Amino acid sequence: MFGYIIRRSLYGFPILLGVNLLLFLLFFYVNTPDDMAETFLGEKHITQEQIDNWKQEHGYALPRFINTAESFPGVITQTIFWQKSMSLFAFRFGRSDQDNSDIGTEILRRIPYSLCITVPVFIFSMMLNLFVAMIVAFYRGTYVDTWVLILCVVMMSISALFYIIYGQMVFSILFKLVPVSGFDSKFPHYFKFLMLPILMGVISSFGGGVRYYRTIFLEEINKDYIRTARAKGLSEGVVLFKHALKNAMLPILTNVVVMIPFLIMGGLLTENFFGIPGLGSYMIDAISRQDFAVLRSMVFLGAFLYVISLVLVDISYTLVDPRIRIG
Amino acid sequence: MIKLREKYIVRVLVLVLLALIVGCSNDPYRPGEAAEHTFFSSFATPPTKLDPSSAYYVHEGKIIDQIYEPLFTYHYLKRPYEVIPNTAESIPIPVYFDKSGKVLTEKDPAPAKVARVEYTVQLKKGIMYQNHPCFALDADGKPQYVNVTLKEIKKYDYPSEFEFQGTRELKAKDYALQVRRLADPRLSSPVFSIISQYISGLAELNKEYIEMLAAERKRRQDAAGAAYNQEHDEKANPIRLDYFAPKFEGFEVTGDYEIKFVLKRKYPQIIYWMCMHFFAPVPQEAVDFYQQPAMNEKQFSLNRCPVGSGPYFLETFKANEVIVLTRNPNYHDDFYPVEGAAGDVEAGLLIDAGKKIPFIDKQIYHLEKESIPNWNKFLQGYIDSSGIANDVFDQAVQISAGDGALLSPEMQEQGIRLITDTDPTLWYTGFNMLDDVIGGYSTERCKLRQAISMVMDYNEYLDIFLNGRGVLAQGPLPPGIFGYRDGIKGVNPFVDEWNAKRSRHERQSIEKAKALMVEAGYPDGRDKDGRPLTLDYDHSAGMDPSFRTRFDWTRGRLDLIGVKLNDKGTDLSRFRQKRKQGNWQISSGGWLADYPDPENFMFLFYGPNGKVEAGGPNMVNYSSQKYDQLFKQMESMANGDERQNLIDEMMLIVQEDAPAIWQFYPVSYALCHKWYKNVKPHAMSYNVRKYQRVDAALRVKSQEKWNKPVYWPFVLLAGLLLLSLLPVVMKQRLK
Repeated sequence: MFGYIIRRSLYGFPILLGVNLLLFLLFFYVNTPDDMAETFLGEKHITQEQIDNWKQEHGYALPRFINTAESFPGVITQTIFWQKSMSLFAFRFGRSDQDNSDIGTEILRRIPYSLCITVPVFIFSMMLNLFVAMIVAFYRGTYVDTWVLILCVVMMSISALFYIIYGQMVFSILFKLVPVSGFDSKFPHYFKFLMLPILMGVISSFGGGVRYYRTIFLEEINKDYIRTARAKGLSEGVVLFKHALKNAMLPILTNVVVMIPFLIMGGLLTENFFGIPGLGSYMIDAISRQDFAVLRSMVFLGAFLYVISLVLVDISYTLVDPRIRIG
Repeated sequence: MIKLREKYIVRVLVLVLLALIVGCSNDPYRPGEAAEHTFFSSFATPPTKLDPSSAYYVHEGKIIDQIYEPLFTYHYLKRPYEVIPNTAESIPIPVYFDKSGKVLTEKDPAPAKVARVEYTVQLKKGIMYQNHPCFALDADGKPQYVNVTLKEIKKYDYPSEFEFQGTRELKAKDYALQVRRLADPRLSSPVFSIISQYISGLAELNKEYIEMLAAERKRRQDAAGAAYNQEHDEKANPIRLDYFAPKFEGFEVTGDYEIKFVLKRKYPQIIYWMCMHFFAPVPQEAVDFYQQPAMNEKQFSLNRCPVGSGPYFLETFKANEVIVLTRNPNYHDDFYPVEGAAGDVEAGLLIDAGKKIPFIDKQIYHLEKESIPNWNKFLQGYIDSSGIANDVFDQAVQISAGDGALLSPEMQEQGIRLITDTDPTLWYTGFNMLDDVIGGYSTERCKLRQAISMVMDYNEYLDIFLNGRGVLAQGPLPPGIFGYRDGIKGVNPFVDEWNAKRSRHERQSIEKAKALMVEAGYPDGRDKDGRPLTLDYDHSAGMDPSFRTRFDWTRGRLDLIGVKLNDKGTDLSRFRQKRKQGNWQISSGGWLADYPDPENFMFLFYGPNGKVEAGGPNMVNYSSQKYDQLFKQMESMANGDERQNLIDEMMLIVQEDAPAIWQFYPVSYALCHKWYKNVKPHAMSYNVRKYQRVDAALRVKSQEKWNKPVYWPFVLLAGLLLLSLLPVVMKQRLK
């Protein structure tokens, strides 16, 4: 098992290296350090000398891939690629181009804010979606099934932005029950700011979630062991909630574990519109301020978490389904 | 037993749910905050630089200009803008020297005669800094926080929370330190390149600092070998630069309360620069305090935690959540102005004349990235003032032909006030004067550019895209800057005319533009071979969703005279390269005033400032010998008739040569609630909150009235949901 985990993790290394290389080419060839300097220096009163100084101070004055002025290993280590890109593998994210703040510290500081929204949304929406999906499966073929399905399709067709804006309009402006947006990190003040984004997150994932889980349940319901359970005289509720749910765990788990990186990385739209200072918001800020040091780190972190979550999916399969064994 | 427990859980859940619903409110603040003398606002972009050396953008200035105190400032009410002493006793009178070092006795000598200028400034005594741990002393009188470890300061989120705080008097050396810091290459001061042209020895000082840093880095690299990483090394162990080690005559401390600064040439605009935070004092204690590795690790730095003597200090700085400015208890005596501009008495702006300021105790700014939530909070009364986004303009303002902009009845009912002001900002579309087709100075080329300018009706543009929030530009100088002429006197005779009925400038007719095209050699927009004149519009705005419609409008206008326009959109990098190399035809630009002097706008067309030649702000590479000559005369001249005449002459030259389509001067619209008082827009200074006041009781009353929660829809919804499920549940039970 341990060997399997190591092997699976190592498979992820070339992917991360590829991501890193692509990022480097994108950030240092398409948009050169000179451009970054001009952006950060304000564009109004700048000289080439200032640009060169900025590059020197931010570690961009080095050669990109090979430093011929140095002897080995400085040929490789004294380059932008090594110092800015390869250091990401050691989680040394460096400093923001914009305000010199430590990116690693900032990421750690913001993760809880993202989790404040994404974890409750994830838990509540999973519970609600599973529950409704089972109810719908329970009442399959009735008007409940039909209308819930129609509702799901309609809700899936609506953009997440719509839910956010109309959620703010309905709950804050018309009913005046929660603040439109904002955040207060002090306990217990943050609860009132979390209610609306969590509610909107749950509502926006309702359509897709219910349909997905309903399909899984319906697939299970037609299997032999369900027929056996019914033949034993078990009630439909027990059949569904006890037997079908247990056996439907595999696809549910896949869906759940793959969501982990998204939980940590936060929601771009939600955080932006509700003013939640999480990682999604950090990413948007970095894009709008052209802070490439932050962007590089965030993209790398996203890729890393995704690779990790795929490994976790594989491991979780073995735990949930004893039939799956690792050779 | 189990049933009892289930019942209990259900009851608790219902009670919690009910408590949540009943306790619900859309008030985004903590209980009681609105009842205090607090100003509530928002910020859309988190400030990233609060160091006075490098803070550059408006949203950063709005914070630190209330914390730091430069020597001079602007009068809050008077217009045109007037510089007044701030921490200085008075505005200094320059002493001019010629090449031989002799004092020139003339009051306003010609720039050519001047080889050196000296200003001596006396500081006010008794000005104290805010309380800050960098000033805290132990029982032996030594700094309390020296060589601190991360463990010792881990519990603090911001310097204002440190156990020991202290203060000290503001001294001349603090100003000298800050000017030296401008030359520190690590701080990348955005104004260094321009002020080092004037302040004697500043450029040399920068070179010395670069050498000092390079030597230290070389030493560290040699010690670390190939593993050396400058960024990581200086994060763990910042380089302490001895700022006062090199000699620097440009800014000398001649006493505890006396400063002498020296310029290389005549440049009266230096006083305006000295109104900016770049020239605010920074105490050595703060620099030493923040250079400790533990502080660096905690991200405590001048970039995030300023130390000043202004009316407010930064109590909380969570750049991604909230910024709290609190009244500085050590702030020196300061009073509301007793005189203002015409109309200020009628506007109620002098009711507080002579009273001690600041009136507001606290300012709370919450992050609000999107304009819609921000607008809604303003309507709910939770934000004291707001701008007007395009999306909601019609909801807020109605434009009537006779009365101009009026607030909508709903806004008026809420007691909201509309405050408008023309910004000292210019937007223009430049023609590259080095281009073979559209550039050059022949009569035909000038007429071609005039014709294009004439057809570009920016009054129409303002109506379509900006809800009329702007004034058609007539040349480089915007209103509010000395030299600007309003009305018929200010009309650009080559392109525009004065409409007395509507009291505004308007473009001349399309027929005149067509006639000019004939004179330029392009009848119906075609050259002598019958080919249509096709121009390229260079930009990097491809990602801007509104660009396409604006471009289509431009193309449509040019089509009226037969000129075709190509979209030459590219990425920012390539676009900048094109501008540097002069490889473009038409492109847009803008300029926001650094200070209220015509030199700051007229230099946009001064030949030696050409982008290609010198990388300067003259984007269009315009070069006119006559204009340049007049500029040299005008730039350092005192305001008066002579300067006005020179400006008039320069305006005519640049209007005739038409190196740019003069687009518009934007007009800002701001809304204020009835409880927010003493508000007058100020385009030059951001240290204005100290003059303003809020009526907290009126605010609380209004907020309560406007934000009563509504519950009944939820009861209705829950009932409907239950009812809809009832038939199928009953059917199942029967089964």
